[in-house]
Parts: sequence; structure tokens; C-alpha cells
Amino acid sequence: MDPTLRREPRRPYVITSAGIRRIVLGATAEGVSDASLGAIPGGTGSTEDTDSGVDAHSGPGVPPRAGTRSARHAHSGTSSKPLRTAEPPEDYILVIAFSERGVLDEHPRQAVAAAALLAHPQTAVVVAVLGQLNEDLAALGADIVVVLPECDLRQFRPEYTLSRLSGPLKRYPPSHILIPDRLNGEGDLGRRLAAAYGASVATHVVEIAPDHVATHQLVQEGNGRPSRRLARRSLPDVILLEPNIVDTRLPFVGAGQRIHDETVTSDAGISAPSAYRDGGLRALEASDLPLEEADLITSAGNGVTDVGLFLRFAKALGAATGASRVAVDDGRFARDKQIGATGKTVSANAYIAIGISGAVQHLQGIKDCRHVIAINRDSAAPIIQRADLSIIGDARGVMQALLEAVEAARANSAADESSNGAQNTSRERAA
Amino acid sequence: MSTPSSRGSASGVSAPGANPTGAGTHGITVLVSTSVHPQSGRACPCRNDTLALEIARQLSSAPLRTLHVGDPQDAALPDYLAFGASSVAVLPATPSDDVVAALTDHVRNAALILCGTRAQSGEASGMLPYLLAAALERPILANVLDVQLIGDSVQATQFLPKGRRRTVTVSLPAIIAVHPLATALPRYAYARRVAGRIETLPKPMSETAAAPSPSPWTLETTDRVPVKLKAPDRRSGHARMLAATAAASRGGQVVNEGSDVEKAQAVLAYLREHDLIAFQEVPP
Repeated sequence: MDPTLRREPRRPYVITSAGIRRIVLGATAEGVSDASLGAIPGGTGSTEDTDSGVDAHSGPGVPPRAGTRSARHAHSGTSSKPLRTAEPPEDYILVIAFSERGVLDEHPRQAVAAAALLAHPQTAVVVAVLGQLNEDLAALGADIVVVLPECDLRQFRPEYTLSRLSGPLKRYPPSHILIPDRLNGEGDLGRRLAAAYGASVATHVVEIAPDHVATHQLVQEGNGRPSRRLARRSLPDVILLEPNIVDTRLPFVGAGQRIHDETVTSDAGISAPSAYRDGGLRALEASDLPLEEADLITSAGNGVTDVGLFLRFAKALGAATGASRVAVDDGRFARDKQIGATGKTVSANAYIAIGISGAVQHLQGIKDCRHVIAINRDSAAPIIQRADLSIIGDARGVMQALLEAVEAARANSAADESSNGAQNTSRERAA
Repeated sequence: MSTPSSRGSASGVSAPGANPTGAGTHGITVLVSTSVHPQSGRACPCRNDTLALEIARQLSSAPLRTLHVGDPQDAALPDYLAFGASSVAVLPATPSDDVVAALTDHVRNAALILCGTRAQSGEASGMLPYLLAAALERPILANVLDVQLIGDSVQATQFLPKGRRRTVTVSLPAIIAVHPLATALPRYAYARRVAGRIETLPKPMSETAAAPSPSPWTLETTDRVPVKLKAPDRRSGHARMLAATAAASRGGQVVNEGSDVEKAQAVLAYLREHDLIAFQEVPP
């Protein structure tokens, strides 16, 4: 009678934003938990009752996706992964990285994952974190975590940091030291370390494997033509890694043991006078900053009609401004503000997308952003799947309320500060 | 150090007059390297080093020393004359020689050594200033955007990502490596190119005795895309397909209800929770 296919009621499912239970044929329980189903191609989701077209579809590239996940069902929890090794360590691989806001950035995470992938069963992965650490690095494959909170980025003390690192270096003599090669401080520190210890070193490494590392070199061919080629060598003592050369998805976890041993972490006996006098960190004004460098970006799409309010909001927040392609094509923003595949690729810490539906081209441009906040009227827009926090509502009203809240918060903290005595604001900001 | 790190990159010390020890407090030495243009293959100066040269020229009106280690016949060297070096001194060396060892004695008397962050061709590891600093036991500042001499010390602004800058002061003697975004604007003048001269320094005898160590690097014969390091994938085909299609989608919190003010508070709470915004600062 009823020709519809019978669906097994206990099959894995997700609850969509519209509150409808969604079953994907062929999915396993593990698949549901691993790959959040938000990005399953739209053809399967036609049962959804979405209010599409209400707001901001930023361009012709929006994939035909129906409304999807907003909450995952409880039974699709994280599956536990096995421990990488249970053997007692005989040698070590050391990773050195600065933390930022209590967590490791993507680039140092890749260095930790690389160490875990290179490690033998008898090798322990030691991570020396310079700065506060509020997260568990076991999922990245770290076995031993040494935190040196006094060595953070706020102060430039290379001699002090190097002598603090000698603690873990003595306790866990590493066969290799992996460091992300970036301007945040690690690239500088790694080169100082290699020069101080007279260690063999490879910098700007674009390929790492158990038996070799490779970097790009510009060479001149026989006919005088220049060409960029890979040069490889065996693993040196110190390896400085370029970003995105390691996949951080690991099938195992590390022990993640945090070391509180005084002999490793204490700074007793370090009193060498520094040759460097740090004049402090300062942050450039957000409006002066190229978008690629900005740390906090607010971005406007088709859903933003009141550009004046948007700009006031960005200024109050101290954020750089970007725009989606529709808003730029419309003439509301300059071309150099465009974020996305044909515009700029940004790597901000926080990205606030206002009235942007999130075409794949736009999502490409923000793939390196750590925190994405979306304000949109359409709960089915693709940006909602990407965002860490989504506000479903009218962009103008929320922006106005947020503008007032930010101004009130600033006024409050200014009042607090004047009563409590001045703090070094630039350092606070830099932290 | 077992590997001469910046093979083929050069450093230059130009001596004001014949007496390199007379460098004094303003003895500024610029180390320059040569490169080939990535498109045309013609010899060209390294952009980072021209920036270092321009910064050095602005620091002091006293004559600079500009030093290159490598081939004295290199076609790119006269370009440094055009960019403002009155003369370029060249320490003859083959690509397999240890640049740092050749350089150390020649720059020992310089109060301030400037160079680019990294060379453009060859290994281009960016290690040279650090190895030189370790050999001379001097402080080194890398990624410097601008430099000021203040009495007996030098104040530099360092580049940091995310729009941050750091001011650091070091006392002389010191080594400074210049970031590509430095504010200096090198200008090319043909008259200076004609007027300047290239001097070849005698090759140090101790250097010829030491046998050059073979480079640990081997160049691959063909160009290829670097292989990403990843864990072997043992999941089922369906699971892999799902993972490939579900790009960066993560679980996110969705606020559907409430007034605009409540929604604004949710955003503010999120920004505060993750320490993404600091209100201590008075807005510009």
C-alpha cells in the first residue's frame, strides 16, 4: 500500500535546526559522529522545511543544500581512540610552541601531530608549551606536556626562554626538535636554539617523512632558466615546519601527561642579564591593518543594508572590516575588502559574519579562522554549519544592540580602570 | 654547526678606508647576497638585502661597509652600488664554502651588522645572522621593520603577525635582520652604479686549508608537489567519503530565541569567554 521505504527507527540520525529528525541512508553511527552531517549533499535533505531565500544568499555559488544540522543527537558522541603506544619511552621528539590565549594555534598543532606520526613505539612526544595552556594535547598525540607559562609571547626574552628550555632538553634528550616556522616567535627561537647548540637544522620545511625532510630551493637549470625544486636530506636535529604540511587527524591519542616536576619546569638559577630590553608590544589599529593580518574581523554580506551602522559597529569593536562578494559587487564596499575565493583569505582569531549566507567560495576564504560568529536571518544558511556561534535574527537589530552593549562594556571597564589604577593596556590586548 | 646554513648567500663588509678596525661606534656593515630572478633567471640583488642597505644608509652618513661572500664577477653586485653602496667588498668563495666561517673575522669590528632575513636562492634557511651572532656572541634581532640609533644602543621595531609590533632595544654591537615589509624604500640610481667599485678581498689562508664539508641536501631532479604527512586511513569507503564532503563543519551553538539585546549579550559572552576582545583599551 504505502510505497515508502521502511526506515529502521534505531538508525543513526541528527536533529536539524528545524527540529526534524534526519536519517541518512547508509550512514553508520561512527560516520555520524566523525563527519558532522551538515555537509551531506543537499539532495538527501529535501524533506526539510526551510525558509530559504529570506536573507543574504551571497552569490550564485550557494550549493543547493537544505537546512541541516544544528544540534547533534546525544548518541553520536566522540568515539574513543586507542593510545598510540604503551611502551616505556627510550627516546623523545620535542615540539616547542608558543600558546596563544591558552591554546595552540593550528600551525603548532600540526607540528605536534607530525611528531606523533614520526614517533616509533619507543618514542615519546614531548611538547614544551611557552605560555599558558588550558587544553588537553592528548588528542594531538602529545605524551608529555611541559608548560612554561613565564616564557609567553608578551615579553621578548630569548636568553631566558632558551635557558628554561634546557630543563626539558636535559630531562628528555630529543632525537629531533620540531618547531613551527612562523614569525610569531617560534621561527626566531628555533634558529637561536639551533645556532646555540650547533645543531643541524632544516628550515622552511615543506615535506616531512620518517626518512627525510624537503624544502624548496630556487636553482638555475643548465639553460639558465630558474626553477623551484625540492631539496631533501635526512632528518636533522632541529626541523622548522611550514604550515599545512601535516594532517592533524590522528587515529590515536597520546598520553597527554602534564609535567609538574620542578627540575624540568623551575626557573631557579637563571639570572643571566639580558642583552635585550623589551619596549613592549603594541597592536596596530584595526583599520590600518591588511585583512590577511587582522585578528578580529567583522564582515558584511547581502543582509547588511545599513553600512554606516556596520562601520560604527566595527569601529566600536576594534575590528577590521570585510565583505562578501555580493556586497562588494553591489558597490557597498571596496574590492580590497572582499573575503573569499576571488578575494582575500583571512586567518583571524575571530570572524563575525553579518548577513552572509556562506557560499563555499566565502567559506574557503575563512577556513583558517578559529572562531566564527554568524548573524543571519536564515537558519538554513551554510554559514550556520561553519559558525561556532550562530545568531538567528535581523542583522540590523542585533548589530544595534551589540553596538550599545560594546560601548557600555567599554565605558564600564574604563570606569573600573580609572578606579583600580592603570594597567598596561597594550600588553593586556596582546595577551 | 655541521652545515653551513646560508650557502651561496653573501655578506658584505665594506671597509671605510683600509683600516677595518677603525669602524668605531658607527661602523655599520651590510651583508648582501645575490640571487636569480625567479622568472627570467637573470642575476638580481636580493630584495631583503637592498632593504637592509637602505636602512643602513639612513642610519648614518658615515660610509658603509658592504660585503658579499661569493663570486666577485657576479652580475648582481653592481646593482648594490646602484642602490647606494659606495663600494662592495667581496670575499671570494665557492658555493660549498662555509660562509659563516669566512665572514666572522671580517665583521668582528663592526658595531652594527645588517642583513636581510633570508636569501632568495640556494638554501635560504635564514640561519646566517643567527650563526654569525652565535660565533661573535652578539645579540641578534630578526624581522626588524625599522631601526634607530640611540646613543650606544639601537632601537628596533620587530614584525609580529596579527598586526602586532614589538619595540626592542639592544646595545651595540648587534646584528639585525630586516623583514621584507620594512618601511625603507631603496632607490636605484645608474650614476651610483657607474661611480661605485667592487673590491675583491684576499681569500683568507686558514679558509683554504679547511676542506669544505659536503652539503647534506640533495636536489631532486624533477619538480613535484610536496607530500603531506598523514596517518594511514583505515576507515571504510563510506566513512572516508563522508569525511571528504564534510569540510570544516563543526558543532556550533545556535541562538534562535530572545530579543535583539539578549542575542547581542550572547555574542558578547562568547567573545569574552574565549578572550577575543579586550575592553581595557579606550576605543580609537
